Amino acid sequence: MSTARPRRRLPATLVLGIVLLSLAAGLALLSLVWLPFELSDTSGGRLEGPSARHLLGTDTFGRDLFSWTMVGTRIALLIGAGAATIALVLGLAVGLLAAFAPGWLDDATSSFLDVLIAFPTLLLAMLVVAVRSPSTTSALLSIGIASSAVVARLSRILAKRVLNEQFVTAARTSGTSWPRIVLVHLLPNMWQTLVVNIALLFGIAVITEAGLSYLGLGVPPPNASLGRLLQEAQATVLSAPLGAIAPGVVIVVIVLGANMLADGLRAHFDPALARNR
Amino acid sequence: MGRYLARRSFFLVLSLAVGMVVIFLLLRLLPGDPANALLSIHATPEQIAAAREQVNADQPVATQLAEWTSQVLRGDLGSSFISGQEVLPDIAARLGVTLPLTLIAFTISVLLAAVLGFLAAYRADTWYGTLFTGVAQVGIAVPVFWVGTIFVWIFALRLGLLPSGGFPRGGWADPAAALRSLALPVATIVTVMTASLTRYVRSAVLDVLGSDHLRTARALGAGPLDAFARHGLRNAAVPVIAIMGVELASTLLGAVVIESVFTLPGLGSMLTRAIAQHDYPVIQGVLLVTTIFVLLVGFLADVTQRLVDPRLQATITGAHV
Amino acid sequence: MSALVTAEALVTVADLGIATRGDAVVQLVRGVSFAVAEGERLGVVGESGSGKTITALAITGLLPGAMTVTGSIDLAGTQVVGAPEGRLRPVRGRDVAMVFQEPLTALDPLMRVGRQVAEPLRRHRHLRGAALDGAVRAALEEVALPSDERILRAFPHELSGGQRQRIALAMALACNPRLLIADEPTTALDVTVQAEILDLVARVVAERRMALLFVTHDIGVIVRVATRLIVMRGGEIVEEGPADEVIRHPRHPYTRTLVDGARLLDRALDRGHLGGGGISS
Repeated sequence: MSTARPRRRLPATLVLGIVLLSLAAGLALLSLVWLPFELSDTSGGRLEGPSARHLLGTDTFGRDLFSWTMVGTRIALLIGAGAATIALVLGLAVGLLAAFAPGWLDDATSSFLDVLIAFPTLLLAMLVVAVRSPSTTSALLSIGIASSAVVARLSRILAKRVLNEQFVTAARTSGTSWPRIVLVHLLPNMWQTLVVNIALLFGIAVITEAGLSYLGLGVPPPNASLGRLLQEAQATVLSAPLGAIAPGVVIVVIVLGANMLADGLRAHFDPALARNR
Repeated sequence: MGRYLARRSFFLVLSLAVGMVVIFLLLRLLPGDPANALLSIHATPEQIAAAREQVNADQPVATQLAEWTSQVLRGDLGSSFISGQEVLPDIAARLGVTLPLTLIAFTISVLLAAVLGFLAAYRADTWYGTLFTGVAQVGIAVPVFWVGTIFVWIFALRLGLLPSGGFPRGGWADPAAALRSLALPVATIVTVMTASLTRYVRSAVLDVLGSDHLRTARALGAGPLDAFARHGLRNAAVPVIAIMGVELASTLLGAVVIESVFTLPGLGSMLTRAIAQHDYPVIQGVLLVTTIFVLLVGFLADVTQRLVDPRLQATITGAHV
Repeated sequence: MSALVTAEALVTVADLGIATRGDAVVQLVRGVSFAVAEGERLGVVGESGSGKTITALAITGLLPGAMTVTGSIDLAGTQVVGAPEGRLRPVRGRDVAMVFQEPLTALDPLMRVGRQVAEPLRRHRHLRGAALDGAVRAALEEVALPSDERILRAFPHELSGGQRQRIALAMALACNPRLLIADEPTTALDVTVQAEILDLVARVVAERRMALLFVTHDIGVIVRVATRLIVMRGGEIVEEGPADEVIRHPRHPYTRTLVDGARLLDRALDRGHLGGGGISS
């Protein structure tokens, strides 16, 4: 036979994605233990440019933008992860239930999901927020619920595909209980695709949160949010452009990292697909 | 095909009905008196009374839903709690901003993405092919409102070439001025949408380039470009058409967010303000119009896809796997 | 290892090596040399991964992805290895045409089969209009398909596997190539249909006095079609010779396993379907 199997190196996109996300995570973790200035500190001059004291300058109230960006990064990552988790749990549950449900219920759920997915996540999230008031929890819940439809549809399709496999039919006829089938047969065959999509959803969640906050429907003051920072900086972009640029860069780094992570995982799990990258 | 159209239309109406129920119920999810809870705490007693009356707050929910449905079918979307203005005419006026913005941006994005995506795939091993791929990858990670702010900063404030926001009072009476106001917003949306669409086009073209039937054409003597034109183009278009519907909806959403950046009097700013003020007839009205739009676009995308791909015509199943 | 290099050799492959490029370099084919004479029917037998398909693909210059090709492939006077696309394109169809394993994916799913057959006719025989229509019908008849509107206007997915493969064959024949390469053309088909397609291939190749390179993993199939055999394993040729010889007196142990395995299968099956001419006869 041909030469021995070469050791599989991790795809470049995967590594890059991890690097980018680690940068953001590092900044976020750092914000937990140390900030150059407290968020409420308004001692800096108004709209100062970048300096040694204020790496990104200050805003209209004299607050240090770098500190605010650090905390904003932390909130973005938290909400992204939280929303992705909610989407995963809720979506997986609905998808599995639909896969096991009788035909008509399954069809109805699938159609309902298709319609939901046609709507952009931000719009759906805005709806949920409309029902409550803007808060960190609302943002988390709304984005999580809005994203769960995609996970549900995916889980349903994956589950059905596995359920149709012969070894599952064998398990069912031999009397294996449903929970065992799910744990032993379904999930092991689904997790890889799910993980890739959750990584993508994480990125979407972060952008959606930024969008919500930008529109004033997300994380309210005094909490930090990259989206709101951008919105506040807009009015003074001519005199202090950095404030309008830096939070955006952070968002790009996080989302780009998440997307590359997803791409890299996909290539790693199924090298045959890597050819299409 | 006729049978499919009938079924799909039925599904469209059904989805719309479901959508209406969802929208209606969504805003009733608050505990307590719906009208009371939905108004801001600064509402005057008159406003509260008018709201309650509009909502038929004392009647059972099913009756309220029926009332609202008949209202809608009559073309009456109620009036704003805050301003008292009628919702439907207001929406119609604002559509004059949001729709052109969405459609122009979408068309340009599709054209650009077709070219960039094709090159990114066909010339994947050139520097520019990789560049397009990379740019597209970054483009979808960028928040659209951030791009807007940067464009405003560069083109409006620093270079003074285009207005930084607003829309002419007289609307489209002065088309040149209206277009100038839309230039930067369109450019902003195009930037993000093109990135997204390019990735889909590139993926579709790559799939086709590696496909067996293209190999057959080449094996029988067709050159690479010729083979792609004859056997690749249509095949690549199919998956792209499939997501057009969703992408158009996303473009609409981009327009909605962008209106905030450029202070355009469109549907988006109307919705955002209504949500902040809990002005629920407006929220309902805008959501309804948006839902109709999204469902219609989805319908068109499905039908187009079916027209283009004969394999779909062979199956008898409906819209689901 | 004797390469049959005579004056009439249509294709001469000498010391062919194919390896993947990039992170993992895997040598797929190594030191392969053989020749196909005009009108000769050569069978290439091997299991999955033996390199047989990729060797066949190399002759047309249509290797997938990034591969490093070394050695020489002389196809009717054109050196294929290292040749630019511009030099290879005119050769394809005219000198060599190919039929692939999976006809459902090998045909354009969005185009009616009549048009797909017409395309090579138009390109290689420069036919238009009524002459083209007539040629399309004749092409279908040659592969024993009814040349009616129903078939002509059908899409690939509306036909059966056997019908699709006949269309693929018709397309290849339309180019009137000097060499027809068939890469596992019956593997994806029902057993009942396999025999028909095999006989069809053998017949058209004989009628047109074409050379045939038939690639397969099934040694039972090859004896119906090929006069000479090459056995490949792990990217190398392990045995070569006239079909009869190789089957009756396999010299290499691997060939022996292949033949024995086929014999066992033959005896186990009641061979009504595959007709006469099997391994054990």
